[in-house]
Amino acid sequence: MRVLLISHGHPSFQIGGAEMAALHLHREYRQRIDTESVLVCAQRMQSPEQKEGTLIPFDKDHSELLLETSSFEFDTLTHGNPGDVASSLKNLLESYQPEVIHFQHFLNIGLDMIRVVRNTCPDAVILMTLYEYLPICRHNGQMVKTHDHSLCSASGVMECTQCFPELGAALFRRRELVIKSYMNLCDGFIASSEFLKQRYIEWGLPADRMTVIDNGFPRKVPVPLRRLQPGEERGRRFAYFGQLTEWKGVDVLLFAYAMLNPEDKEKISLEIHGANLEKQSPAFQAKVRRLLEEYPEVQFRGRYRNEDLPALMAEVDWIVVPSIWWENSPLVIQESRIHGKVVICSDIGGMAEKVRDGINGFTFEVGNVQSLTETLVKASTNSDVWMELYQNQNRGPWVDEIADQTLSYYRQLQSPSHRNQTDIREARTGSGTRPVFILGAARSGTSILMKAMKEGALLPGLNEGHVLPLLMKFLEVTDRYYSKYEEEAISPFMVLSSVPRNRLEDRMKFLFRELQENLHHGGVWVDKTPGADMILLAPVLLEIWPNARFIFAKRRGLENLISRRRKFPDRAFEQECRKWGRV
Amino acid sequence: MKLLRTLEYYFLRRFRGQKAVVQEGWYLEQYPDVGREIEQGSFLNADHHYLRHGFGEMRQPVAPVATSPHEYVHIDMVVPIPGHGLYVMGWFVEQERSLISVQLESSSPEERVPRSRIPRMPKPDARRYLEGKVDCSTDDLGFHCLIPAEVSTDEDASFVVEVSWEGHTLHLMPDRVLSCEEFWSHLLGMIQPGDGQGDLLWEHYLVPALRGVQSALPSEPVEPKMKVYGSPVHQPEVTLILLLDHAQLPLKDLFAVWSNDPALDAVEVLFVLQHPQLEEQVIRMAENLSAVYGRPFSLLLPPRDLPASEALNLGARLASSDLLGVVSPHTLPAGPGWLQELRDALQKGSGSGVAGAVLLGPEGQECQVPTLPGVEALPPICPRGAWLMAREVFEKAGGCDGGYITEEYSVMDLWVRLGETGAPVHQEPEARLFYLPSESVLDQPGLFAPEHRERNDSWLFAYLRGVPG
Repeated sequence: MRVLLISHGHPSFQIGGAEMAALHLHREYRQRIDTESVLVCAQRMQSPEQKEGTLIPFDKDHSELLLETSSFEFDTLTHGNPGDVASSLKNLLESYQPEVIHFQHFLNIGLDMIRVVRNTCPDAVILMTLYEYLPICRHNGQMVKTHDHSLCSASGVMECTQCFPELGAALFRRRELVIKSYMNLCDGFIASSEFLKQRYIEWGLPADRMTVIDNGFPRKVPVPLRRLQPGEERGRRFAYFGQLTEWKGVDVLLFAYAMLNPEDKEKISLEIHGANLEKQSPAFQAKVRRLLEEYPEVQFRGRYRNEDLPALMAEVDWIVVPSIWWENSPLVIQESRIHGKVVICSDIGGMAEKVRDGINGFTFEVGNVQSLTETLVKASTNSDVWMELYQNQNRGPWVDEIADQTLSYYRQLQSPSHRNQTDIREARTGSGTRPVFILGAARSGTSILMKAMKEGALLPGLNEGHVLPLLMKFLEVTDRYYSKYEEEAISPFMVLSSVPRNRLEDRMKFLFRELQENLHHGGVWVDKTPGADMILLAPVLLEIWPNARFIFAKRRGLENLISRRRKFPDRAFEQECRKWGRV
Repeated sequence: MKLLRTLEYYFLRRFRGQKAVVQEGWYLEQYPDVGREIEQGSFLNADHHYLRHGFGEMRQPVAPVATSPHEYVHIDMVVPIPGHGLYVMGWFVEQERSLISVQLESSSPEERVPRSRIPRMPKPDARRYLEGKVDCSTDDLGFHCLIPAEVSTDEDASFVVEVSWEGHTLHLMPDRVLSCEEFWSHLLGMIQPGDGQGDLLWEHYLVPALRGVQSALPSEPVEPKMKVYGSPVHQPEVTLILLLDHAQLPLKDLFAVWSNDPALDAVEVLFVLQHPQLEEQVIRMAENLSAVYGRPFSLLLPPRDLPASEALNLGARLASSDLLGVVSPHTLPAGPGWLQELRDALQKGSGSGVAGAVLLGPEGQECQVPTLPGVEALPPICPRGAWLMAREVFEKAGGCDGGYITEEYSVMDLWVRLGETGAPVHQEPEARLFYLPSESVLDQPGLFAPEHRERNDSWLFAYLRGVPG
C-alpha cells in the first residue's frame, strides 16, 4: 500500500504530540514489507527569499519531505496564498501516486489542500486524524470560552459569536460552511479519543466515517522502579511535565499543593518541569511565579529535553496532568504510560479515557483545587495503592499496533462497501520493481532459463541467486522460537513482548528486499535460485514484490536424476534421489 | 535633552496614530503657559504639549468655533458637465445654519451662472432629489449640487464658487476641477466596498449628477480581455456572473462550497472585473483558485472602469448559455441544491428566480431578507444573493440601465422594468444562501424599522416602483 502522510511540522523543528505521532507512524510504515510511505511536513518559511511550496528532502531516502509554507488563514484553516503549495503537492501526488493520503494535521498546510488531493487523486482514500477541536472552535481549538475560560460543550454560530463578538456572526457562519466543505472530501476520520469522536459527530461529521485510534510510540523498556531512600515510602513524589500554559493547569496544581496541610507538605515532594511561562499572559505569569516563590519547597526544574524525560520520570512516582481543557491524548500521559508511571489527571476529555480512576491512576474534578488536593493526599497515603495502580498500567499503545489498526482502517475505507472502486488500486502496490524468479529443482532447466532471460530478454541478473532462501530459514527459526514462547504465554514483563513476531518478520523481509533491490536499479530483474526452500518461499516473495513473476522449471521423472548424475558424478545416488523427491 | 523630547514626541504621535492635532497659533494664544514651556525647551511645539499634557488637562486643541467664514465652507471639487451644468461638491462646518447658496463664477465673466439656493435637508428627503424637485442636498458633512448652466469644459477653465449665507459671501477656489471622465473614475473608486464613504454619497445625492456625467462620457463599446482557466464547460446549462469590485473577495470560500455541488459541474462561471487597476491582484487570485479547485472559469478584464450595470451587461453578452445567473461573491450556499431551487423558481414564471438571502443578526440569529411592507410578491429589499433569468427575458427588458453604478440599484431597476413587461420575479425562500458581509447584520431590533429600510435601500425601490413612501 502506498501512503502519503501529511503533517503540520517535523519533530526535529517543533515537538508536539501530533508531529511525533506522524513521524512514528511513517517510520513504522517504512519497516513494513507491504507498505510504502512518504511523509510531508509543513515547514514555516524562515525567510521571504525562500520559495513557497518548495519540497526539501529531510532524510537520506527522501521519504521525509519538508514543504515550505508561509501564510495560513486561521479563520477558515486554509492556506493564504495556496497556488505554489498546491502545484508542488500536485506534482508530488502525480509522481508518487499514493493510494492513501492521510492528513495527520492540516495546520500550516491548509484544509484547501484536501481539495487539491481529491482533484489529483480522485480514486485515493483521503483521511484525517483529529487531534483537537480547531475546525469546531476558533479559540485555539480548545473549546474553552474566551471570557471566563469555562469549558464549552457546544459550538455554533451564536455561541462562537459570544466568544468573539468583535468578529461578527458572519465570520462563524462562513467558517463552518467552508471548513465542513473541505472536511466533507475525506473518506474517513481518526479520532485519538472516543470523547473527541463524539464531539465531532455532534458537530456534524458522519459517525460512519469516524473511528478511534490512539497515537503510538516506538516500543521501549520502562524505566526501573525508583530506588527508595532509607525510610522512604513509594508514591510520594509528584511531578508535572509540560508547557507552562494556562490550559495545562499548572496553577491548579500549585494551588492544590498550597492547600495541603503542613504534615502532607512535609511528606510530599512536587517537581515542575516545563517552559514558556514567559510567553503567557502577565497575570498568569505573576500568579505562577508568586506561588513558586511562596512555596520554595516546590522544585521548579524548568525546560527539559525530550531525551532526558525517561531519567526525569524515573525519579518520581506520580505524573500530574491538571489540564483545564478537553485534552484528548496528551503527550505526557502517553510518555508516562511508556515509562510505567502512574498518572493523576483531570476527569474530562480523552484524559479520563486513558486514566481510569482507581484502576490505573486517579482522576480529579477538572479545575477543582480542593479535589486535586484530596487526590494528592489520597495518592501519597498508602504506597500499596501506588503499586496496585502501577501493576495495572497498560503500557503503550505501541506504534506497531497503531500502524496495524491504521492500515486496517485504510483497507476498510478502500473496500467496496465504503467506495465503489478497488480494481486499479491493487495494481499499484509494491515497490515499483518487478523481479522474475526462476524456481525449480536443481537440474531442472533453471540455468538455461536464466541464460535465456539474460541473453535473450537482456534482463539484469547474476547466474545464481541463493540469497533469498536464507530468509526462509530465518522465518522458520523465528516461527519456531515464538511458537515455543507463545505456548507458555509471553509475559508483558518480558522484552520479547515488546518485539512482536510480525514486526520482526516484516523487518527481515524488508532487509532482504533492500539487499536485492540495491543490486539492481529498479525495473525488471531476474533471480534464479533452484531448490525447495525457494519454492516454499514463493508466497512470501509475492508479499514482498506483489508485481513479481515466477517461472517454474519442472522436469518429469528420471531425466532429472540422469542430469544430476551427469553433472555431479561423485555424489551418492541415494542423496540425489532424495533431493529429486523433495522438490 | 532635545533628542529625548523629540523621541517622546515621535512615540506620542505614533501612539495616537495621527498627525498634528493642534491648531498651533490658536493653542499658543489661548494657553500662554505652553509658549513659555516651549521656549524653555520642555516641549518641541504646541502639538507635543497637547499630546503629552494638554489632552489629560482637558485643553481644547482647536478653536471651538471657526473664527473666519473661510473655516465654515470649503469647495472640494467642481465638474463641468456639458449640457447639464456644473456639479459642485464641498462641505461646511456649521450645522445650525439652515440655508446656503452658491453661485458660480467661471474664468470668463460672461459665463457667470445664476445664483442657486441650497436648502438643507434631512436624509430621507433624498427621494425628492431624485424626483427633480430640488437641485441640491447636504448631509452633515458636505453638500452636492448640480447648477444648471452652460459651462466651459476647456481643460484650462478655472472656476470660483461664490458662497453666500446669512450675510456672509465668500469666493472660493475649488480644490480640484475634474473632467467628467476623471469624476466618473473617481466615483467608481470611491464606491468600492469597504470605503463606506462612497455608498453614503451615492445613496442620497448623486444620482442625477451621475446620470449627467455618464451621458457626457463617450460610449465606447467595451472589449475586454478574457482569460480562461481550466477546460471550459461544454454547452453549459447556466452561466453564473460574478462582479469583482475589489481584490479581496472571498471567492475561495465560494469555490470550496461550490466544488462539492455536482449541479455546478454544468455551470459556466464568469468573473467580470470592474476596475482595471486591480487586474494584477485579481489574476493572482484567479491563479490560486485554479491551482486549488481546478474548477473552470473565465475572467473578463475590461480596459476601463465599469459600473456594475455595464459589467453585468458585459457578462450577459459574453455568456455561453441561455440561462443567466448573477451571484454575489459575498454569499455562501448552505449546501448543494440552491441552484436547482432557483431553476425551479424560474419555471414558475417568465421573469427571474431569486434566492432570498439569509441575513445574520449580531448574535448569529438568522432571518430572511424582508420584502417591502405592503407590497406583495416582490423581490427582497436586498437583492444580493443570487438570481437567475433567461437570456431572452434579460434582453427583452433591455438589460441593466447603465445609469446605475451599484449592483443593487441596477438590479432593482431591472426587476421593476421586468415587472412592467409582465415578467414577474419569484423569490425562493428555501434556497438557503447566506449573505455574509457585515452590512447584512441586522443590528436594529425590528426588521421593518425605518432605519433598516433606509439602510437596505427600500426607499429607492419604493421610488422606482412608485410606491408611496
